[in-house]
Amino acid sequence: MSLATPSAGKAVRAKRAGAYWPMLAPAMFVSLLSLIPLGFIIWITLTSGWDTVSELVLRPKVGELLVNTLVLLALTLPISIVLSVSLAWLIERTNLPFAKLWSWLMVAPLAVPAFVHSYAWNSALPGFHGLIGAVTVSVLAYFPFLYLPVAAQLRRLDPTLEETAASLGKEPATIFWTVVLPQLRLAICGGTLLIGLHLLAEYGLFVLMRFDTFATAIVDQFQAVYNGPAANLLGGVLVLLCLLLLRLEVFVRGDERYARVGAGAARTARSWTLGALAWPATLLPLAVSLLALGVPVWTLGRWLISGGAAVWRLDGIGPALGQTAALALGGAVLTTLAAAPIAWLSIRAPSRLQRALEACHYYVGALPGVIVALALVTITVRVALPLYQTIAMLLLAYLLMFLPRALVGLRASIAQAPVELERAAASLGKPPLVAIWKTTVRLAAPGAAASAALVALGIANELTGTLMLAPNGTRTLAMRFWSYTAELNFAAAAPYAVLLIVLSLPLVLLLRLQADRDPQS
Amino acid sequence: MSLLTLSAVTKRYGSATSAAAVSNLTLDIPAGSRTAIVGPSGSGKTTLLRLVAGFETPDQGRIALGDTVLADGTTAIPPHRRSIGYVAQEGALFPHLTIAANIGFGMERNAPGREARITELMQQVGLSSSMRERRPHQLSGGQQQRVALARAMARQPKIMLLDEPFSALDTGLREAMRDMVGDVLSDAGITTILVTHDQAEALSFADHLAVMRDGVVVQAGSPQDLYLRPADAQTARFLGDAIILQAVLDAGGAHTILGRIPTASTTRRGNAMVMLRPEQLQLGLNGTELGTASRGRILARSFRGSAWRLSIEHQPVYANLELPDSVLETASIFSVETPGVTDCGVGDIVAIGVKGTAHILA
Repeated sequence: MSLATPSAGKAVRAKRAGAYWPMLAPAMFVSLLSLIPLGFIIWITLTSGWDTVSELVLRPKVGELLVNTLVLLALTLPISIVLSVSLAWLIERTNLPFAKLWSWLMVAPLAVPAFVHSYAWNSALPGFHGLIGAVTVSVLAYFPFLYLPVAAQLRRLDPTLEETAASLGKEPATIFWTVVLPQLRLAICGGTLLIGLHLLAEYGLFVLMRFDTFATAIVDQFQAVYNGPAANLLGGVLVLLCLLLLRLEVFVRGDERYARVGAGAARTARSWTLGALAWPATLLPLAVSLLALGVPVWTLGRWLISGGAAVWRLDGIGPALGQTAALALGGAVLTTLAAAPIAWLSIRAPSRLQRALEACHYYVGALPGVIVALALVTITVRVALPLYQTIAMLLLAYLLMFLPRALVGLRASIAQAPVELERAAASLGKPPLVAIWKTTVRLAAPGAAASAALVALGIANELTGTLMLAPNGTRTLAMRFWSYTAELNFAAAAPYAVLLIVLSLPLVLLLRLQADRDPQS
Repeated sequence: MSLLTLSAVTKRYGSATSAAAVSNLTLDIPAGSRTAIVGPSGSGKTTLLRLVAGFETPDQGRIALGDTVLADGTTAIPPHRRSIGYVAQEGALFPHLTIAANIGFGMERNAPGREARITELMQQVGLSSSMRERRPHQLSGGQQQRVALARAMARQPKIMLLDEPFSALDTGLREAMRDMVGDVLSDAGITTILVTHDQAEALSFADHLAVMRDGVVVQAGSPQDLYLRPADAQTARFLGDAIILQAVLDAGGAHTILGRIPTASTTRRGNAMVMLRPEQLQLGLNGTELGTASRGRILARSFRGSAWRLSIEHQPVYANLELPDSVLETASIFSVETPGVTDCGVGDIVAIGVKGTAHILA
């Protein structure tokens, strides 16, 4: 045995490296694709020359956009944090009446696309716009991104830590600040980052709230002059803001570890008795539900009633539904397939190369859809004109935008199937492919389907990139909704909003399940 | 003098009709003692500990620490105002704080001599001061438990509660930690309550032992007393291997299939169950006579290094005709250990003798 080791070891190593190529090669290809938007921005900045850059970037309009964006972030993010942590604590850790109902209602606003929230407020209170309007609607539309991980983390917290702190003589309020809150830090950082990136990328919401941000300015520029340097350079500033936000989050999060030490059986946490405060405390979730769900439901209901049967025009709705479904399904399948190699590698063969590739996959997700669209438009116009305004380009844009979403879900589901099961199946006499089919594929399939569904739902609600890239004649639900809203034909837009909400309901369920499963999502 | 008294304490989880986790329990913990509460899982021992710590409030009954009433009925002092230390199963160190900050967590932030006290506590539990700035996840399981102990001792509690703190550790480390913890707490003069499901751990740690089952304390006393004179067969078996025999009692003796064995009690007569510990059995191997009539056959053996563990089937002998048939015909199989150097084989017939007295079970 020992005599044969050197050559045998070499053979095994060679076989191993070789065995991973079928996965590494496509993963590298997808990573290169992912770098297109960032590379495009760098290339634009370098080739534009300093004069153009200073002329187009260093002007009062850009300064105004910068102030708007920063004020928007500085108001929306802290309000969302305080609101989400208070709601999560009340719902998860006290005897608040109807806690179960509230815990679902607090996630439900995600089923309403941000631009539908904005539409509801706009048509209910036409005078409500500008900064205050933008901040209010942003908080209502996006706070569930913070509520979800914070509530999930609160449910997972090891109660022995709080009990131990109590046995060390700490008052309940002190325990909340010194023990509970520090352990929510990762969840708060992750959720805040997600909301921040959405605020930078969102277009529809801010147009309706008549609030200028970089995303709205870029789309305006783009629609005025296709492939103009002005839009591209504004995109560069936006990318810079995104990178700053990512950097800030890494800095605030630090490299600390907040997982529980050890792995004992976790007990359910103690719940605080609100006593006489119970009913006043329900006012908070009640008010949030009314504003975030009541307003859209009431507005849509009003328009549907006033519009009557006439607004349900099947010749418009039918094709839009069909196109949306086709794009969503095609995009989801494509994105899931593109994410599969790196997801598989990250579980089965983690390495330095694989981590670098994975980082490429993730970076694009942080870049707004406008940037992806700008990059693809410019490149097709300059390099591959036949591809300009084709379904293929639109699908590629969806792939780039939703790759991180697919990757998160896929990785978790492949991790559900430990390699030992494959080996056990092999040792029970199954040939390799049969072994993989009967173990890993079986176990990963439900999770993979769920992550594909998340991608499909994301595509169905996508507006900005679709507006910029869709071939002539494409009319998705979101596009139809948007064009009717732009014409101030609120009644005709209502059926499309209802369909978008119905399509997004499964999203709420999936996101909630995912938050409960992933530690520190 | 008892430091902690629990009188008629009842605690149910869920509705009033659900089974009580702790039911009408009364227990005294002597001041300065090392008490172990031992019982199978689900016996209510952890609930008892949580009631004392204040993490749970009793439904009925009274808990008092010295002159202070901790809980009476459903009114209770919250845990942060009780001077009771608590070490959880896996230490429950705060993952976001350094070791020094963990140990100093319960002290006032700017108390004079805080740093020196932390250093002193680290020394007491045998942690090198180079670990001050480390994080909990950089420590081994044993070191984490040392930090948890130092942290709980920092507030100089009157009582220290240990909730199975050794169960996550390796066997070798476990005994060393148990001795260390016992010594440190005894030196500091802190009354200690250890909850465990491991009877060997309880016997070796405690000077006062309480056995719990189905929410009640079935027996409390010194470990030796409980081991040799358990109240019933279940307790006997829980605390170690037991040989339980049917017997007919006469003045100071019990007639069993192993012959007449002396008993401590001379008052009871008639049928009863008696208990022997396996180490009370003497084996005559390879034809060695012990002067008794009892014989057994080796059914199986397994080697443990220092010892052989033998399964011995008793061979009935019809010599003592004054016993009722039921006693005579009870065939029994015992597990007995004999030194590993002994020469013995399956199928051998051995003579069986008994040392000491048989304990009459209630």
